[in-house]
Amino acid sequence: MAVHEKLSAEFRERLDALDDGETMCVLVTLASPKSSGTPRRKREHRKQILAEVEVHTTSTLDELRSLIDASGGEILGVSRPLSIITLQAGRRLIEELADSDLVAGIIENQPIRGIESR
Amino acid sequence: MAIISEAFGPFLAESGPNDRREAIVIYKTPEPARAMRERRKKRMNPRQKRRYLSDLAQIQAPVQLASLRKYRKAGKARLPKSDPRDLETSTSGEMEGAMPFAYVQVTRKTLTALRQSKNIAAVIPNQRIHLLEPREIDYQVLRSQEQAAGMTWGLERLDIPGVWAAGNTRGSGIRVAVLDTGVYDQHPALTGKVADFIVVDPLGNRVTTGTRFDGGSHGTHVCGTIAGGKDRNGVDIGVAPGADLLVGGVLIGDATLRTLVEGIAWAVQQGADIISMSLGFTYYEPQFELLFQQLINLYGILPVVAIGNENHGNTSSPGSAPSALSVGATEKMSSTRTDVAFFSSGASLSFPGATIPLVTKPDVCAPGVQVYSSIPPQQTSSGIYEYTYMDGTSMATPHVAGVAALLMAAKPNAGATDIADALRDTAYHPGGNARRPDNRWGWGEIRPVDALAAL
Repeated sequence: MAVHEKLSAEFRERLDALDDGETMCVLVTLASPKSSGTPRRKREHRKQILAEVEVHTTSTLDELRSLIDASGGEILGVSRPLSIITLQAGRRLIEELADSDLVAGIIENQPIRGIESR
Repeated sequence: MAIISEAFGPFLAESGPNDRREAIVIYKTPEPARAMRERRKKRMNPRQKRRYLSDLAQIQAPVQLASLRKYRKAGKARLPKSDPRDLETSTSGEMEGAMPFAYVQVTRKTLTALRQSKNIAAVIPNQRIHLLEPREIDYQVLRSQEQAAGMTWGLERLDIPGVWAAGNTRGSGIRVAVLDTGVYDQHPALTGKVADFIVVDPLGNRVTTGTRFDGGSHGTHVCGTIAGGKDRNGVDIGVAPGADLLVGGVLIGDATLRTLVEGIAWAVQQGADIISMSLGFTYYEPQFELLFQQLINLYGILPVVAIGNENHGNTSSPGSAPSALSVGATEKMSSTRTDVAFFSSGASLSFPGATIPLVTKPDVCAPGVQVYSSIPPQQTSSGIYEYTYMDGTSMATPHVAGVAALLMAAKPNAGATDIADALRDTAYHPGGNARRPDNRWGWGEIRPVDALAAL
């Protein structure tokens, strides 16, 4: 597996087992704009960078919206600072999104837990 | 084909062709006859069990003995004529045959031959075993030592007062986001430390609450180690008491990745410099690498993540992402020595063909056993408790997050990657720098004063 393939091996297995008409909740990471400037400038200009990323997220989402709507996907939420959208989607839409240059990766939403203290 | 243990690696690489090594051969046991199988299904008293094993041994011993004879004969053919000694073999004594293993001497050549044997399941090298070394630290003794020192053993071990002095900072101006079970911000050690608070529900909705609270005690303990003040006995519990905490309650109720992602997005928007995450799940998820690269490269945020309490050979996401600064736990063994806690996770992740083909986790270690910190007040029969000791990589992680806050405050021009690199490069590995990184210590236990000097 590459360090960041678009779909993990575990997710591919789950996707292959998905029946027609069945959907799952996924997080879609959009391809992000490249960073610029020094780290110090980034801290000082967080608001400006956030604004740029949010514009990028919105425009990318607009480009993907027709694909999502045509395939019956439902947008559940958008994390604009991270360029991540939450979708309820079927197998075909997920595969089409994974093929898109506008998408960097897709992950199934799943439970997380605290690392228990002992 | 038999499995040859990877632990033979050094022997195969470094020994001469006829050097001998003790090994344990594990046989494929022949399937017992139906009558024996029926006996096995029944509940047996101790005498019946012994009889059953004895009968089983009579069936299996001839297979083992024939196999060992064949091995000695084959071994002799592979040894030089100048060496008259047979390869030594033995079985498990009185109940010979009952246990499916035997002890043999192997050479590089016979080990290769054993791999081809149909009757053998695996071959492992005989190893020294030892008692798990008991800790010399008693709980009550530790408490009195910490009261005498005026700080927890973790702060003392990492020489945090040395960083405070050398960097002339206690973390002021740095914002550390803690994504956890929430926080009890009325705790006397955390008064005025929590700059912002939010709860994220399982659907990823941000919920603003009138009261800041902890859904358990984990988050308050973590926050205390990052930025807590002194307890009632004057013991410093926090690494960076001047830092501001941004607390995202993402582990309240049924948390999902969506909850975590929204918590991270909130931390970015609140101006976090560091995100401390003592959470995870147990498989490698590549998307976190994308997310963490974005945090580091786009926003200059350092993600500090617990590597997990699943022991050697395991890691958890998102700590296993190459760009995460993942943290293992050390425990105090004596006044001068620490060791990696037995539960602390660590493994190497291989990515054939990738830019980074092998990632070794954890990145660094920090104190994570018997860590004294704040908790929401708990009423017990013997009084109200506001502090407790906890163990885990969850407790090691806030030590590193707090140190990163001190370094960022002392060196405002250092980026997240610079901070992580300095912590790795200056860490102490008891096996020496040539052993770094490995799956127990990573690059080693952090040395914050040295890291500050390196920046």
